[in-house]
Amino acid sequence: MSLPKGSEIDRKEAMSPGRDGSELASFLSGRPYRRKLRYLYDRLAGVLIAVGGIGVVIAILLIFVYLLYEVIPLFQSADVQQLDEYTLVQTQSADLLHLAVEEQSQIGMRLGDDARAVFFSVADGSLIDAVQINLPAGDLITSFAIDSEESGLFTFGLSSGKALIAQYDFETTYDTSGLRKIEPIISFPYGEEAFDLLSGSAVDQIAVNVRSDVLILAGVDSSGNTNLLRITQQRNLFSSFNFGGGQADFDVEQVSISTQIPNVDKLFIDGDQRWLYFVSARGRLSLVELRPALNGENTSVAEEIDLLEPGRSPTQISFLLGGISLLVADDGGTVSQWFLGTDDGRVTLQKVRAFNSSPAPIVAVSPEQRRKNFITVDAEGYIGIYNTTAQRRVFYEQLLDVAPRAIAIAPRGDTLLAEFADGRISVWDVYNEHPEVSFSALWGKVWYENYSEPDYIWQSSAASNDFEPKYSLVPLAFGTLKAAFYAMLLAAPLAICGAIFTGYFMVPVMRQQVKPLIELMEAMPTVVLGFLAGLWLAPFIENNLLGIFSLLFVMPLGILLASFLWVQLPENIRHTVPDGWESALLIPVVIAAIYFAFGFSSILEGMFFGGDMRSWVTNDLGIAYDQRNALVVGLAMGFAVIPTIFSIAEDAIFNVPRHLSYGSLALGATPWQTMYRVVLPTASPGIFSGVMIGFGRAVGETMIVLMATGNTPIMDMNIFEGMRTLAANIAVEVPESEVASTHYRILFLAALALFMFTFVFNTLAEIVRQRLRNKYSTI
Amino acid sequence: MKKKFLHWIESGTPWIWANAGAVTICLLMVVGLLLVLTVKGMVHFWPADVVRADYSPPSQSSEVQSIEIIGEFVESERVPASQIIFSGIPVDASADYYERNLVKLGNRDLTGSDFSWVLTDFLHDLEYPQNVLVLERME
Repeated sequence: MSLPKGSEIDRKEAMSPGRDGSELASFLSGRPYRRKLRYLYDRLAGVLIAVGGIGVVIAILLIFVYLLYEVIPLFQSADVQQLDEYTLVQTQSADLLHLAVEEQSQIGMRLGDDARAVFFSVADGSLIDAVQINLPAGDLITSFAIDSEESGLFTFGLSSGKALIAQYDFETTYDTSGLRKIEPIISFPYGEEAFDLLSGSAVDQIAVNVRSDVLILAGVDSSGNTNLLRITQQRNLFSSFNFGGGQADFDVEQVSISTQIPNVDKLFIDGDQRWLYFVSARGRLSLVELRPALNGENTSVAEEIDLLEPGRSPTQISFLLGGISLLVADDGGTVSQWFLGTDDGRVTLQKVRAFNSSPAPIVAVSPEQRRKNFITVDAEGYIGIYNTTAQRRVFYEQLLDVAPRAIAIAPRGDTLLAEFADGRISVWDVYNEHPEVSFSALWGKVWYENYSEPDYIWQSSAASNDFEPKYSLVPLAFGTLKAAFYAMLLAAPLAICGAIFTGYFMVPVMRQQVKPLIELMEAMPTVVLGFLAGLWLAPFIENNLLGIFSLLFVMPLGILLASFLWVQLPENIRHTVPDGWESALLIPVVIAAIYFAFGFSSILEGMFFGGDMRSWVTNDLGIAYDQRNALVVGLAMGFAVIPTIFSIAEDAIFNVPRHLSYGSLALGATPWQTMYRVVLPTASPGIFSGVMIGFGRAVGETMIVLMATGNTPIMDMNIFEGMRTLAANIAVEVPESEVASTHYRILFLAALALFMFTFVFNTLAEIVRQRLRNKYSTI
Repeated sequence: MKKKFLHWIESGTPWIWANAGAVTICLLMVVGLLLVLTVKGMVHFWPADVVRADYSPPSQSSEVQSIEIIGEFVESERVPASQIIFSGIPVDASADYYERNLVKLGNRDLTGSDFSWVLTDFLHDLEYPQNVLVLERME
């Protein structure tokens, strides 16, 4: 940023031909080698300055390019490439129950309805291991359910009404040379014996869910009778050391649900173990609360709802990661997302969003295990990859020639398996790094899981794996503008008024002291300001709220009163202090005003606010009050911005040519009329650019807002609540974010947004300044 | 008077003084900030005097207990009487405000807390003993 007037002076001096004629003559008649030397210095200086200037531009461009380089991968779409295709010879006879891939995408698992788990190499389909799970004699598998791919816990519903629980797992070990070895395991954490679920009749549909030591099993028979099993693991101190040997203890409770629900096609237990979902073949969903049912109380259907339009039927229903959202795929090619909410205090299932993915019926839906993604395959072989939060179709292409029987996605979401009816398995490599990003996810209202309505939320990470990241930049942008607004509210008037007086009215002796002193504020590290604002100013304001607000009235009134009284004083007293010393005269007045405001506020507080304005604000006005709020930030950041605006505006006013003001004064205008009719318009380009640069500083300021606000990303203009700004957010979260993750890149996107904002703002300011300058340069 | 007032307005003096006030406020902010930093920072080099006093706040039971406190005054503030009564000390409700001091007692193992608020009005026999030593224990 060039100082508006300084450059002009330099130019004028450079063009003026020496101090007097003799200097010029000696310059011209200097000895040739000195002239050459001088010429060399001149060239050297020219080159150095050019290199410096171009270097600055290149540095800024490099920052921009680096930010772009980190951000661009966010907007790349996903890609799916075929790796291999083979047939598993060992499994052709049995129907498929479940297909899974392990984390490193080395081993696949195929669970058949002959209760055989076949582990095969994903790379070439060769057999690694096959485990036969022993069913009770004479029993057949009639239903199958899996808790989650992450836990690998599954259950068979059997024709005798029993249920068998088992778990698949992949154990990773490293040998002495550091080579990784992955071993597939089938284990029986709840014992190898089948549990009695439905007495006698075959388990038509089954559901299972495990949540911190409590396993719930639900089974329904063909006539609509539902039984529940709650299996609680009795953990003691030693059981965790109890590898393999002996059985852990279980409490097993069996209860029947009093309501009969006919025509159950699918059965689910939600991730919180609160609800049972029964879905009929036509897509009618019935909701039964689980807890009273488990306690043996009478239950009823809490909610009944049609998931689909009449004429459509669901092809596959599954839970999205976390067990909150239900994904319903239908034969019309649509996948819709539903989760529980309340409507007038009544629990109901809400249709949150729908993905009209393809014209053909969807044959398979597979939710990802670590992200809120799901993969669909339709009857024509189109593969689609979607992200629910961003409501984004990341990938959609016809890759398969026929519809597959089932698909499976690896935990990292990078490998896709598809098994066809003829036993072929094809393996696909999936590149899908940043599905969570879309314009609507960053800048629009998004209906997040378990929220009652769409909202702007920034909540980038959580301790749990199944968390839905919320990447709305709106609260951050809002917080940035809020902080800048309150800072400018304090800084702009003080700095501009101060500059007017210092640049035009103040006596030169005082000006020489005052200007450097105010510019000294700029040298103050902002971390010191933030520290002081957070630890000293914030509690001070909380205790003296009324004092701060009464200052707003007491201070101007005190100053004006002092001015009026001064004018009334006899001339011989007044003339001892010449014009231009008003600021010095006002020092005791301002100090007195501060004392008066704080001294009387405690009395006023006792009279009107019950002695405590802070609790009055919260209790009587009902306005939330945080100790570290926008008021504190406004004061502290205003403090940091004042010298920037003051310095530039003061230069502009001071450099208005004196002949203009002298002319005006000679024509009879008062000093103040000269000020706002002649000097201010001429200096307006400089003042304007000062304000803009000050605003740019307020927007980019980090340490003050970081330390003096609560850093809560809320959207509230309330002066008594905090905010989180883009800059503070980057400072807080970058050290914690995984390199090259979506979160990391979104922080870079925020940086880019900040960069662009400042860039555009400064450019606009410069253009406006040039315009104003051209307009007033004719004076 | 009215004429004088109008003349004062017309001359533009109030505006000039208002601008002068802005400069004064900026100046006092800078000086004030430097003062706050200095005062808060220099405390580190000048430890506070240790005071010894008898403290006998009014209590719910009729008998007045007096305890001896030895410590450093850290800060003082004025609080409404109602707030003190609410916290369980039956002070005179007709008085609006009471002043209270935060005293650094140290010896958390004996007193339960390092700092304690005491009401200034109920401190008596204040003295600054010569032979008191403050030691810092490192654990």
